[in-house]
Amino acid sequence: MANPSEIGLVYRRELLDAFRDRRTLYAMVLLPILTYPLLVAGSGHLWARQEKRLQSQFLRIGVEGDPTPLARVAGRDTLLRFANVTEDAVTGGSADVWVSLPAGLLTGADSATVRIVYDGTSERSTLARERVEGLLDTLRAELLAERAEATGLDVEPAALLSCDERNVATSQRMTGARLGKIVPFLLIIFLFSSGSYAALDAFAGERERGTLETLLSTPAARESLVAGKFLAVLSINLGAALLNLLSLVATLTVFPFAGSFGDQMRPALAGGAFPLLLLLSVPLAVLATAILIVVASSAKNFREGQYLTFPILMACLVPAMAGNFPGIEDVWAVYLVPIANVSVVARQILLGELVPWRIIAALLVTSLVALVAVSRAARVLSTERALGRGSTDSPLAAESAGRVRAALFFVAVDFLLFFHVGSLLQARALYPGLVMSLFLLLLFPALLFLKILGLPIARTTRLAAPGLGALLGSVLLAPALSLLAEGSFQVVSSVLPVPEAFLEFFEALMNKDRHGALATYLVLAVSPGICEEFVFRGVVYGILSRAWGARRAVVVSAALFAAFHLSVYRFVPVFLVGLTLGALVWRTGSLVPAMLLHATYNALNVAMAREELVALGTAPRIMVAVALAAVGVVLLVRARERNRTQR
Amino acid sequence: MTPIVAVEGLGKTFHDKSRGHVQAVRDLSFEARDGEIFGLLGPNGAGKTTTLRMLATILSPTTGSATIAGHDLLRDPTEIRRSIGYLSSDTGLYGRLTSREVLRFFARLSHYPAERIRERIETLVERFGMAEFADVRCDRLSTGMRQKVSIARAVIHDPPVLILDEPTAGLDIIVGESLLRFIEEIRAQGKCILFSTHVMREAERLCDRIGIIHEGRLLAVGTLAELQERSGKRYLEEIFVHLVEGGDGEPI
Repeated sequence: MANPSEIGLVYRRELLDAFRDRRTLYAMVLLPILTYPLLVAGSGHLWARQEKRLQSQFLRIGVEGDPTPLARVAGRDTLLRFANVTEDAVTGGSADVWVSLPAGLLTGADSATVRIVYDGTSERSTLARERVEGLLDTLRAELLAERAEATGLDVEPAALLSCDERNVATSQRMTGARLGKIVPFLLIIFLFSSGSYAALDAFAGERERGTLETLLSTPAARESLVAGKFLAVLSINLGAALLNLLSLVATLTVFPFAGSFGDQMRPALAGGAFPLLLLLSVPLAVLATAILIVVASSAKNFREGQYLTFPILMACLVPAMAGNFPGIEDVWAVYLVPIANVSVVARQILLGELVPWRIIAALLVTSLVALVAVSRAARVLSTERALGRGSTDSPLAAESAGRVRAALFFVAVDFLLFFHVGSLLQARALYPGLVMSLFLLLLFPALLFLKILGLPIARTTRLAAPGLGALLGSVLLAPALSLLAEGSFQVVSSVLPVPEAFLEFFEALMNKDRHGALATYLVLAVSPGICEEFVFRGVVYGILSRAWGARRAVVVSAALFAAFHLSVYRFVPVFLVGLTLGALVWRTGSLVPAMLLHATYNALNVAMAREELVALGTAPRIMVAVALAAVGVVLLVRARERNRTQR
Repeated sequence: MTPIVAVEGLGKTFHDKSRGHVQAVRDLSFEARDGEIFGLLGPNGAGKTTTLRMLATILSPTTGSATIAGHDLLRDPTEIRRSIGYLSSDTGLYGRLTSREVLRFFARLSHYPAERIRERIETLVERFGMAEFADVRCDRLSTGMRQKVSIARAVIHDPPVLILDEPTAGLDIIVGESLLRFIEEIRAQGKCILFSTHVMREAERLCDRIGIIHEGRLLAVGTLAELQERSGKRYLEEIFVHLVEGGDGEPI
């Protein structure tokens, strides 16, 4: 069992070693500290370039009243577009700036007040405001000249045309928007990268030097060794995050270059921003540490470890940038996506928008995922693979590897068949075409494939009768699965805007007026449940799992399943559904529950699209789905236990 | 007197991608006593390292078991690790730590009484002539210096049993010789040493008893004299070839 004094010993040794390593000092101390001063010093130049770029784009100027006088002074400036809209257009995003020209302005009233509305968080809007002010100055000068000519008197230009400007953004929003673009991103990147050298050194490095063998032959408990190393890497990750945030504060308050930039930015850090960002960093640092350790311990040496950790950092980049995707904060599901939720919530904290449930959701989800990762990391030294030898392949490896190649080849060929012939069939008649595609182009070739390979159909695909509990349990998962798919689709579509045609296709597919209920459910729910499951969970997972083990087979079969749907927008949702179905076959040992869940899940989605189901709000829907899924999981676990004891 | 090391039917099966199931060690049984150097002699890949790693609790056996200093290998691995010092030709040192730091770390990790650690380290520093470089980072030491630190590390907690896996591999004559002398010195202190090598001369010179191992099987066990008598050959090389070629394989 883990022993505190052993953990402390290992922890101190790891840190001592890390701090004598220039790479760790660079990644944990120098880089996080220097980033902000360098950014601030360099950003003046960058912003100037950005402004130049904006100047060469169209600026949309909303006008209340007649835009002609402004358009006239704008003359041949073709980069300005005038439109007659209300002032909401600025908040709505359809105009960069809005200006009200009072009717009396041109008819010769003595004075007039022009109102300007803009969004200070947007560089385009600020730039548009400056242009409008320029135009108003010209207009003012013209009017002045006209009046002077008419009356022979000098008129104070400001008295003639005064301006009343309104910025729709508060000052905290303005500075928060600027900081929000960069601070969460850097924080997440440092959390995931700073400890990577230390993690690699603590596992892959120890193995390479032969010290791991020495360490494992000491009386210290394996758990103590892992815990000490874990805490050391965690300290480095968290230390980097803390130094990074402190550097931000210090740069904005005492850094000589900061100047007015610092003055502008400081309000975003007022209040609880600093402690809240730090609080969010803790579970994320734990998650990052656990992931780094699992990866580092699987590498044979330091170099291989570097190859393995690089993709992790790459994979973090997209969710780390999530906060910068416009409109993503309104998608509830994003708060359930690890890393992305911290990115979005951190940006909101800097904007001064504190929505408790979002912060709590981000903390809970990250902690939960971190817990799973930690429990995996805790075991890295308990297996003999810690020493980097042995694998779990059976003597039948060559034969099953051949079958894997054949199965992957089959999927590739069938993919071409399904899409080229299938789309022809569906173009002729949608529903009959779909049914024919599923049965003749998917199920039938799969049966043929098994026949050619001489594999027994029922045994290979696990087409066996499951218990009643497993069947009932799998059906109960459907609402949660539907929610999972919908949520992930929303997240994806907030990043990749979904084209209208895509949605129209589904609208047509499920249209209540065109297709009767029985036909719809048979074609869209029952048939895919049978055919797609037979191919992806039956044949593909069946063959892959025997060669690679269940976990890898679940992931790869789900990825193939998602790719088969040939849609960027649906890849993630379908992948998640595929993972669930694959896991179901793995845990129940039968294909039938997956078929049933697939059909139920499709039927549920069809019913919601056809409005044949009582519509629930998001919150009650989540509660119902979670409750049913909980019962379903309990039933499935009990069915599994009964299955075990019977064997 | 009960033997301090008793190995009974020890076996290890690995799974290998290209070769499938590999029986690295099969049904190995032998005993070793205090004040004795027991040598495992065999070519590369014979199963020496796997056997010693199992006895050091780094690998777990597929079959059989062993007791060391009265502790069972399967039930009480922690106690076994307290009782052994383990060194192999590729056990390394922490490059960014000094020799003294390495020794202190392993002494504490091996639960050596805290108040005696300093004294123990100084004794070893003196014994191995490490005074000059004891405060230099290990990555700046020569191979010979490093080997001294490694052996000091292996005995830092003064264990009754030493497990040395080809400790002289890759060493020059002078360093190798001083290592062999040290092993003889610890035997004189009454410790038990399990020693593996593929160098016949080392085995002849050092080992009180020799186990000849080939393809995971122990072909013969005995003193050099016993092995010579049994096989009718004079040199270990000849004895080895005689056994491998299907000569009298009964363990002596």
